[in-house]
Amino acid sequence: MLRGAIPDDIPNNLQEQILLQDAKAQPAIMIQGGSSRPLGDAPRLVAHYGGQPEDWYKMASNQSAIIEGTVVEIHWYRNARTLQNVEYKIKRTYPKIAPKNQ
Amino acid sequence: MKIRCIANKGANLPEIYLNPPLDITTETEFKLIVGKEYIVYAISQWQGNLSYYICDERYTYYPIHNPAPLFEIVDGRYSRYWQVQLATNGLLEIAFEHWFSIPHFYDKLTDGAAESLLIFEKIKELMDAEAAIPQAPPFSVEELLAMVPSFA
Repeated sequence: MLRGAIPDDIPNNLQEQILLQDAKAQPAIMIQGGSSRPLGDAPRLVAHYGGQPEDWYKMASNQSAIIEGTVVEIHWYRNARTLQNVEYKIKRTYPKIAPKNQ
Repeated sequence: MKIRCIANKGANLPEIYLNPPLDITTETEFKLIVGKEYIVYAISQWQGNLSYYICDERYTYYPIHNPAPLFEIVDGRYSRYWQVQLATNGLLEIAFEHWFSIPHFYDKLTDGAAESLLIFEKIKELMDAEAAIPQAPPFSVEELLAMVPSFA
């Protein structure tokens, strides 16, 4: 049975709120989706928002932040045909190894 | 495998790579530093669109695809951790084993699922160490021809 629509996350603090606002205003980064590698959530998104499974992509905010030791970025789903953006999530992850670039 | 960034703007990309509904336009600035080398953790090819999964300047906890025309290859060695898979829909991917063996691995990794996160952290350590090993110079034609065949 498919889960229902998931409401947008609520920011815990001002930094998260700014990150969320920026994510909605700025160009995003496509993580995956479409017909090359359809999302696991695509059937649920189609059931609740319409379109075809290959229309849906997982997007990420251009910016991320480290807030109190937690890596925070915004993820959501976009229908590339209608440009509808839904289900903004505040991803808070706690990597065992601090993020670094090589 | 290591690549070096040679450009970081959408304007440098062939048209096939542009996708305005997904915010990939000529105005896009990729999170890359021109001249910097990056280790490749996976490769995908879809409808003529070749991408490298790297830890770019926005890296948090998962590698992300960047268009191949923005790079040149500086170390073309194939990682010992890689496998190749051609999906029935035509998606060609080269990646570490768990990428394929765990259903929706990349979806789970980008969602921050604990197990996927740990797997990638470990694989990244291994692949970073592997990439740090200097590349042995190839045998010259003369050296190869001078070798005694093992079946002789």
